[in-house]
Amino acid sequence: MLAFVIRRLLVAIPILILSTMLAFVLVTVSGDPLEDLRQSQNPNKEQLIAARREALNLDEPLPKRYWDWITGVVRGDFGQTKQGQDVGALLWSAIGITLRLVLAAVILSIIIGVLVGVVSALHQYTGFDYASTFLSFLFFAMPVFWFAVLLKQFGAIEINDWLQNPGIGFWGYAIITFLVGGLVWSLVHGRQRQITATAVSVGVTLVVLFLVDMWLADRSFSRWIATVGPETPNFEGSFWAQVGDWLGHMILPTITLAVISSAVYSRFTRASMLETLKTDYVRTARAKGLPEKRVVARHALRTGLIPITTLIALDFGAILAGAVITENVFGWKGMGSLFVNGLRTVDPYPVLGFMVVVGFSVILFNLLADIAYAYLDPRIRLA
Amino acid sequence: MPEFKSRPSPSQVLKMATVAPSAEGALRSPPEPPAPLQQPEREFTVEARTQRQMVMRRFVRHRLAMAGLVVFLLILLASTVGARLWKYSYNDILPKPDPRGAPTLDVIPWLDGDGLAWGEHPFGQDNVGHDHLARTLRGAQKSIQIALIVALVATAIGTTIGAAAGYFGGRVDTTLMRFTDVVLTIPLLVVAAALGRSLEGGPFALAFVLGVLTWTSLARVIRSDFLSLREKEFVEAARAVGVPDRRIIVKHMLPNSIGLIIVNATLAVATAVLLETALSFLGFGVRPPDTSLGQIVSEYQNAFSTRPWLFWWPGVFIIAIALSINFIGDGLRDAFDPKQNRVRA
Repeated sequence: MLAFVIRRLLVAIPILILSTMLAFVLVTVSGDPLEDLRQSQNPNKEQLIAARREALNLDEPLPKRYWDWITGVVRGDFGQTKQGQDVGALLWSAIGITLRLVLAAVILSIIIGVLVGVVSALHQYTGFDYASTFLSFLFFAMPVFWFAVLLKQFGAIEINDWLQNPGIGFWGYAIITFLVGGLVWSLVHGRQRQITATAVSVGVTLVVLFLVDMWLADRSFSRWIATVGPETPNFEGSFWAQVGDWLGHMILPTITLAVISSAVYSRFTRASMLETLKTDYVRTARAKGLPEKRVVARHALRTGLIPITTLIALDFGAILAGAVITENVFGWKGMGSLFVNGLRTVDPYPVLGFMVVVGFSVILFNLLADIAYAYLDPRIRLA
Repeated sequence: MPEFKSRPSPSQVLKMATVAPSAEGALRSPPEPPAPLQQPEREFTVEARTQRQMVMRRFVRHRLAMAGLVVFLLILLASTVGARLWKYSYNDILPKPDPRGAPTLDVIPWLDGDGLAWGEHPFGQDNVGHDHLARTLRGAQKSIQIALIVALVATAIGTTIGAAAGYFGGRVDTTLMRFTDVVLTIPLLVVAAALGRSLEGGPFALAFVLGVLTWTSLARVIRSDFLSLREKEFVEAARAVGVPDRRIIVKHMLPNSIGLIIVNATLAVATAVLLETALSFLGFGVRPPDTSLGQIVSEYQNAFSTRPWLFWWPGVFIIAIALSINFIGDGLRDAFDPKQNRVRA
């Protein structure tokens, strides 16, 4: 195992070097970092240009500049921005913010995706299966930015209005009861049990909704869901108020990122579970007379979920790319905005710093995927 | 599988006929005459179909795929021919009969009693006075154009690299696959944005750049297919009679993976639509004098509370395009590979 990890890391080094080289050339050809100064009316324009040339190392030939930069990165020095800020420090704070967003989204999408996938595999060709298939196709085709703007403008405002004057209302009762009833109806087998289970669940839902409605009456909440930034600036309050503030800011971007990934995960989980349920050893387990619950939980699930670990690790790069857009829409100052602003203002080192972090994490997660795969599936041996 | 049930193949019929008498059930009940054997001429009237005809039949019978095809063709027609026929162009600045520029499209007759009507500006107008229908159609046209070019370029590169890596193996394979890894490590959005910024050459240059970056997954798929094809007897036979490598790849192996290529190319179009719109949304793709669906959404994202229609239509078009292409790809996959279990990922 150790030898495998070391060999993989050794292979990764030339790949990283090549990709940073490519990135360096790309960023260099993408524009002139002195352009804003050239057009300025400042009397000491020449001095400013000379100073920036010096600071960004622009006078050196390209290979020399790359060498200086990459050796700096190895030592932990990521260069500086056009304004003279240290990119390393900026990267660190940006990584923290983006990780907060991405981790929450990944965890949420794994839970939802695997749950939906397993349930729709176990209940293939039911209403639930068709509905989840349709929804995941829809989310698959949904542009992230469009969904994000929709959530921001529509979800936040409507829900905040609702929070100020909460209540369930006729349509609330009707829709929630219908959804719960439909879910139970499509998941329970056998006409008699179907009718009883649906009736019971509809009754329970109505009672619960009524209680919640009673509790909500004459109450009012603050406008909790925020659409800009990771936290309220200069927010003072108790620990729980702080956590509430964080959650209020995180909920919409996290949903945006999670919805699309969980659509992908649920499709793969479903396919993989269906495949596993057809295997001989599952049939053997059933033939032994094991209860279905045990067959699924102990036998099928373990093998069926192995491909998902790989998928999740490989999907990490896509989620980071999605985070660029989500941060843009919701005004988070994370990795994405560092990168996008760097590109807009032709500021080379923040862009390169972003590429190094993303490239490194993609390689790292690929490695983790392989290790997890071998750990979960004893048929695979890493050598 | 409807074909299988309705028309068993001659060999299956024969097997059924020979097995049936020995079965237990058949001994107890009076043995039924093996009907198919008694009318052999019917069995041999089954018309022969070529591979292509079979694929076509299966595709046409795939209801979701046909629906996707119809929707996509309608959008294509509307965005090319329709945009030309429509009385306004996407850049016309028009007087606003309604100061808000609300859409005049009326599809629900019972709401205000006007019945089905297009009106002056079916999709409404923005604050400047642009006709939103003309703009959306123009945007869809650009987005589809770009996506098709991206898919074409990516398929060409991916097939070539995958085929070479899979067929030659060894050092060629290692080099090409490490190169693929390098391209994969750099996040796609990043490179496309960096290159898109420096290329002021308009949508076609952008499309070309995106194509140059998105071939990696196809290359991997084709490579693994070629790795198994390489070991087949017909390739060995071709090699034994001295067919040159290039001819083996093009004439003997590629036709075998044509299904894979077509399916992946189709799905690549959908991915490319989403990628292009995302880039244009961030401001690194198609830029203001020209327009694309992503650029429209980006332009009007703050108009949501005052003029929501400016925001709805381009998004609906993106979803409709991506969804219909995904359905077509799905149908093609089923049509090309009838043996594959119908579990879709």
